[in-house]
Amino acid sequence: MIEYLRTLLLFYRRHLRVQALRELMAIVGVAAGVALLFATQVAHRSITGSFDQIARGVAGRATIELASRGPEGIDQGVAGQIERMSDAKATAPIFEQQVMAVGPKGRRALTLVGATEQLTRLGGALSLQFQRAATGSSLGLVVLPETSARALGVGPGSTITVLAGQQTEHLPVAAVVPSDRLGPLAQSPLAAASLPVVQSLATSPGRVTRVLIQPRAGREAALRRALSDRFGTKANVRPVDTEARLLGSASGPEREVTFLFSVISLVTGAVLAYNALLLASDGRRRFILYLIEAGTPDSMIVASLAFDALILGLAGSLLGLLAGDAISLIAYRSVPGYIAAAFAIGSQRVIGWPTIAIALGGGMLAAFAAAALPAIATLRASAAAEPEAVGRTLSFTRRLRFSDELVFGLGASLVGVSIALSLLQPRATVVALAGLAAGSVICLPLILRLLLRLARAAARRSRDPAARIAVAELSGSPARSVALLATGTVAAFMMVLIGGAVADVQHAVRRGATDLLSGSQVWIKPGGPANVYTTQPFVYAQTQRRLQGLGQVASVLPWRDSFLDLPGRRVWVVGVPPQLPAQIAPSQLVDGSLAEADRLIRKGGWVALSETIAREHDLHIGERLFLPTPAGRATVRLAATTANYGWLSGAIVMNGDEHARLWSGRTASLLGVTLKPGVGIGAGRRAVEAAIRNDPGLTVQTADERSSEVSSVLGSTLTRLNDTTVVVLVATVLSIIALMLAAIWHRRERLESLESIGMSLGQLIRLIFYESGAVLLAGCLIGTAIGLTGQYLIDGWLRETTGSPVTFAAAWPLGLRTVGITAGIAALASAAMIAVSHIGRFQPRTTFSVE
Amino acid sequence: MLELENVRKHYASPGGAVRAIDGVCMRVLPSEVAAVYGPSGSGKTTLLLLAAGLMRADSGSVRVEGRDLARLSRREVLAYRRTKLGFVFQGFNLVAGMTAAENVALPLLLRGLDRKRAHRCALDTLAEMGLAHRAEHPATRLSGGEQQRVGIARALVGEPRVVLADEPTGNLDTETGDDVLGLLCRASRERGAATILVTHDSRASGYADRALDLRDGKLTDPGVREQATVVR
Repeated sequence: MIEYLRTLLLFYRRHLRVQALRELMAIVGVAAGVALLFATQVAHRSITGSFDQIARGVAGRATIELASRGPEGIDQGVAGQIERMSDAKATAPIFEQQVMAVGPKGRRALTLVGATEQLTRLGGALSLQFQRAATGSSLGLVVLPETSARALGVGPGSTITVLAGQQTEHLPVAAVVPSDRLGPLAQSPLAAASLPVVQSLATSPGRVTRVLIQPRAGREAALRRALSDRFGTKANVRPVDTEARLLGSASGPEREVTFLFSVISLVTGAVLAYNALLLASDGRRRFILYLIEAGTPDSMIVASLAFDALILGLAGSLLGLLAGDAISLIAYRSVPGYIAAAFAIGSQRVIGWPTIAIALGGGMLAAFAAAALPAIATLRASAAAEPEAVGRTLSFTRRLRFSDELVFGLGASLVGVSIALSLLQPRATVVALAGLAAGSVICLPLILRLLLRLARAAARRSRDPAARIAVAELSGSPARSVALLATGTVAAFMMVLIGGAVADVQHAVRRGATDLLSGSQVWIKPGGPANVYTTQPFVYAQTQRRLQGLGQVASVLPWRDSFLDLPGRRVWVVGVPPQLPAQIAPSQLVDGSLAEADRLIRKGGWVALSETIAREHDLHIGERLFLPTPAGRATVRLAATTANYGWLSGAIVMNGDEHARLWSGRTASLLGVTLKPGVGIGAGRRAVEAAIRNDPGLTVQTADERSSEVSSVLGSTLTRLNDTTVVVLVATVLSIIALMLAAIWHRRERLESLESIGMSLGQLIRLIFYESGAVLLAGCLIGTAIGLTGQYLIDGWLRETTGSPVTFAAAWPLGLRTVGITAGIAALASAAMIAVSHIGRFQPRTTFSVE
Repeated sequence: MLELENVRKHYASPGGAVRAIDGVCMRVLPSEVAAVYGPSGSGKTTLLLLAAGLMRADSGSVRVEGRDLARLSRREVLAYRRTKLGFVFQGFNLVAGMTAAENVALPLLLRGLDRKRAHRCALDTLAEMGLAHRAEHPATRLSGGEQQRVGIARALVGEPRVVLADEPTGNLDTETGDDVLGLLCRASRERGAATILVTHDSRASGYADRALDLRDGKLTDPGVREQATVVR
């Protein structure tokens, strides 16, 4: 066995020696796919994984929680009442408040957890570490993890400024928890303080947002029932991991989007590797012929090809894992803004064995898929050349004979089926796009033949012999030509598909934000970009009065936005001031009459609901639905269905006054300022800023600024995906250069013979450019066409998955940019390579003859 | 007439300078075929590159019809290769995807001749090589001997003054090699071309007018240095 493996290794080393560049190219192709797959998987698993770790670290042995439905919380006395219930073993009331901490070195969004000593009784690792750090310290009030303390530039004894709503407090730091004690939770955005401190900061004395409950052994179900009966009207009784499940639901579309692009990236990697192997197939064929002549058994020949694929998969996967690790560190480190706005998530990376296994499996799959067709072609050609010497296995491959027309038919069918599948069943778009890419590549041999026929006709009319020779050379080496064509196709396909889809989603987000913010020119909200959904309430009455007294201001209207947990999902509730004629952003309307819905919502008792939620609950316009609000179960009617307003789990639009009644009448979460006619936005903004300068916790933004902020935060996931195209572009550029280098090196003898019969340097450069550049460009045009088809399909899928009103806008410019980049690279590479081959002509023995 | 006068060409290599051509003098007259023998690495290919103007000598001169190639501009060297030189290769180096006739017409097209005239000339030359019936076949699908005859036709179609052949029988069997050597020498003589035939094949001396031995960059036949007499 060892001897067998040693022989296979010997064969592989021979390939490596003879065709190192092409092997390397194939490895780079697989590695690019694996890197993207791994990086996106790590990014996604880190979101849910880190949240889970934080939740467990705080809750410890608690399995049930009583959670308030609004930011104002529930009465703290409830914790004592639960503690006295016979089935409860321990309870811990906590108040969680989103704050912005400001220190000498910078600012950081934190979740400040206010707790009592009861929390440590639940044994949560995170709680214990914070408690240990605080014990014995009489320096201050807040305990920070080391990472946050370092970012803020503070230590025990120093003071940080904490902004919550329009509240500002200067709190001394009691202790800093060293990172080594927190392990993977070192990056968590948590800070701890005593319960009264946080209650005071939130202006909610005697209130708590959650009560964590440890039931007695075997009494969990009974306790939950009892809790639901007693407190279920105004608070949520639920398992302690509910937040994690809600996060899973909120980040579900993000997971699907990243998964889709991972699959496409992997297919791209496989195609690039396939191209490289196609180029090497001539050399492989000669070697296998030699093996057949030498009497090597079929099994050894087949094993040798499988071994090549194995090495390719392993090397590509390992390289891809390293590159993917770097990408996840550099590009995918931050949590998508829309998720961070609703859940306390750290930026720690969570890399588990399943993630590594998926990436390795994907790499091996890509390598074997890429190697299969060239291997069959090689075996078939070898068996055909030496029919007498081959055994049954290779004889079988000899009978595998497919015409270009048949292959094209198969490819075209795959493309057709993929498009139909995606149109009929948008959820199957992931599979359909992989089919579209693969089918298109399969169609290329016949497309190339047709293109060459056209090129031959054009070359006949050309006076440039280089054009005639180029067409002839391309016809004479179809494997190389198909590989070049496929490289251009895949590059443009990826650029147009991803770039186009991202642009369409961003456009939808921008349009939605502009619509939503069109009611006012200046906006005021607590906190920074982290509060993108403006769900942090603040007492606004005084600020409103002050602003209404300004000569530049016509009106100041309070918006009341919040999150509401429905079974299985956390929805965004948008409380629109009833004074505004437009309650629903027009771009978000999916079903119903806009005017009628606006009228009904203004009247009260009616809401607009995201179409995804309405569909899930089989709700139709006019029907009743129940909302579990802080004030209890509210009955409302459905006025219209909408898109998701940029919150992927869905949104509810309601009258702001109704929101105040169901949540709390004291607060707003956003103020919209309408300026008097003739007042410039700049002047209006300055006046507003001056009026609230004593409230540093509030941020003033113009409608444009807020719109940009919303677009950038909500589009962050897709922007991040757009970055993946850079990796594909780099892999493609490397591939193009390597392909051209290989093409020139492989034929250097013939190219130099052309020079010796009278071709000029310029003609040689043109020859190489026509041969590679023109084919690559043709590939880019084909890829652009397929990419646009893919973009159309993926838009439908994004509408379905994310609930965003995505509209198709053909991404021609991206295709043209890819064409331009490719043309530039090809032209430069042609000139550079011919020049280098001239300068490097110092081995005449290899120039003309094979001695 | 092709003349090499005290030509030297050295290459730098990690093991020190390699004297590929070291003071070679030779003169090949019109219609003369000179066979140059030598083992691998003896400098045969460098000799051809120098004669083709694809490489410049470190010292000495390479003259064709009295003109020193080193003194010609790049454009003039290109014109020399296009109008006065024919090259025959061991590996044939025919353009895949072109027919035999298209391959033969290629040097004429590079010279600027119109396509129809070039094609007619190519057909005539192929007929002379006994390949009229194969003119429209894809060149790379012909047998080895046929491909080399197409190669010879391509070298001779432009009526060159100098023909350089690099191991023309290296990829052929004995019988075909004999045919090719005979054809090449006869056709070159008929056109009045000065021909250098670089080879390992000892049979070449039977077809050449004289035989020279190149070892370590030096021509070892003492007679060659002094005279340009045709040795038949």
